[in-house]
Amino acid sequence: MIAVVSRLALVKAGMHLWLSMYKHNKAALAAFLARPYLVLLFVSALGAGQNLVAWALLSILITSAVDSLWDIAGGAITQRLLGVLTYASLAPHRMAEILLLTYLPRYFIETLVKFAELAPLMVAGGATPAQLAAALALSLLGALPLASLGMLVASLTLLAREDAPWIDWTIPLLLVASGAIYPVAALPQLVKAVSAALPTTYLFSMAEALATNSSADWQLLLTAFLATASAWLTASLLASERIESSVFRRGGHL
Amino acid sequence: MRLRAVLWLHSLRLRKYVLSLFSNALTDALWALIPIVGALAVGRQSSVAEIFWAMVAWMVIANSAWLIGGWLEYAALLGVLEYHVHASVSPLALAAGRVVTLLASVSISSAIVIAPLALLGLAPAAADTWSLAASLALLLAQAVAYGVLLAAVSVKVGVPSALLDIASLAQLGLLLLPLNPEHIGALSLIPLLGPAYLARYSARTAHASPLLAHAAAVAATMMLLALLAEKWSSKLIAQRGFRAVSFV
Repeated sequence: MIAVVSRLALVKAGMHLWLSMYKHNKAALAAFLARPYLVLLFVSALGAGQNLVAWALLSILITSAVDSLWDIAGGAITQRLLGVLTYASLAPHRMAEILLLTYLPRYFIETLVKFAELAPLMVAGGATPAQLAAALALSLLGALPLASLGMLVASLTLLAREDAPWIDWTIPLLLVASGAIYPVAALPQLVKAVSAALPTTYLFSMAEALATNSSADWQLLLTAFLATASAWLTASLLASERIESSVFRRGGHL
Repeated sequence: MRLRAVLWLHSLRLRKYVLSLFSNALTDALWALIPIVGALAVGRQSSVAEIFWAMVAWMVIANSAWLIGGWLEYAALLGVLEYHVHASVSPLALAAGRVVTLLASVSISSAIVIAPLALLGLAPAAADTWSLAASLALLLAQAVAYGVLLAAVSVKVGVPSALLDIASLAQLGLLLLPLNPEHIGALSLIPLLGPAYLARYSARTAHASPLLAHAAAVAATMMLLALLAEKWSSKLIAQRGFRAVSFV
C-alpha cells in the first residue's frame, strides 16, 4: 500500500512539474501547441495515410513516439547536468521508475491537448463520435510501448556518458517497421518478421483501420498490442534494471 | 585565436561524444531514406537525386536549429557560459562554432544515404553541380544565421531546445512538396527553404544559377540580423545573466 501511495506521489509530482513549466514558459507552450500542425504537414507531404482523419491520428502517434523517447532520455540528461540525478540513487524507487512515473502525466496531458487540437480536423474529415473516442483511446494507449523504449534509451545514454540520447535512430526504424509511414505489406520479408513483434505495428494497424473505416479484427489487434506491449515493458524494466546498476556503479549519473 | 579555440573546443567534443554524433547522423540518414525509399517503391527513380539533395538541405536546416540554436541552453546547464564571457568570447559565437558539429553530422548522414543508392546504381547526381554547391553554401550561411537567431531568442524567452526544431518538421514537409519551376523565383527568396529549393532545382535543371543572387541577398540579410541579435543578446546577458534551469 505504501509503495502504491509513493508511486502515486511521483505521478503527482510529475504533473505539478510539467503544469508549472508550461504555466511559466509561455513560449514553450506556444511551440508545443504549434507542433501537431507542423507534424501534420510533414505526414501529409509524405503521403502517409489516406485522409484527414488518418493524417491527424498519425500526427498524434508519431509526435508521441518521438517525444516519449526524447522527453524521458532528455529528462535524465538534464537532471544529470543539474546535479539532481545523484538523489535518484538515494530514492526508494529505481531511476527508470522515477523517470517514467514523473513523465506519464506529461504524456497524458500533452496527448489530450494534441488530440483537442486535431479533433476539429478529424471531424472535418468525417470522423464520427465513436471514431473520435477510439482515436483518443489509441493515442493514450501509445504510451505503454513507447515509454518502455524511452526508459531503455535513458539508461543507455547515462551509461555511455553521452550528451544526447544516442540510440534515437531507433525511432525512424520503429516507425517504418510498424507501418506508420508505409504499409507493412510493402516491407521486405525480414522487416515484416520484426514488425510482428512490435506493439506499435498493431497500434498503427488499429489507427489505419479506424481512419479508413475498414474492417479489422479489433479484438485480435488489441490482444496482440497488449501482449507485445506488456512483453516490451517487462523486458525494458528488466534490462534497464541491469543497465541502471552499471550506471550507478560507474558514476554515469554524476 | 579565439576563433581557433572555439573550433578546437567543438572538434574535441566531436571526438568525446562520438556516439551522439553517429547517432544523430544515423537518425537523420534514416529520416532521409524514408521518402527516397518511397520514391523507389513507386518507380520514381528519376526523382531520387532531387529528393536526396532536398533531404541534405533539410538536414542542414534541422541541425542548425538543434545543434546551434539549442547550444546555449545546454552550455548554461553545464555552467560554462560565464567563463566564456570572462574570456571575452561571445556565447553566440560559441554557439555558431557548432557549425563544425553540423558539417560532420550532415557529411556522415549523406554518406550513409549515398552508400545504398550507389550500390543500386542510383548515386545522386546534379544537372548543375556548381549551382548545387553554391545553393548548399548559401543554405549553410543562412542556417548558421538562423541558429544564432534562435540562440538569441532562447536567451530572451527560454524556450527548451527540444522545441526549437519544431519548424524543421514543417520545413521537411514543405521541401518534399512538388516543385513548380514557374514559382522557383519567388520560392528562392524564402529564408532557408529558398536555397534548399534551389539545391533541388539544380539537381533537375541547369537554370538555377541566375536565382542564386536571391538566396545570397537573403543570406546577407540574415547574417546581418544574426550580428545584431548577437549584440542585443550579449547586452541582455550582461544585464541579467543566464537562466540555467530549463527542461529538455
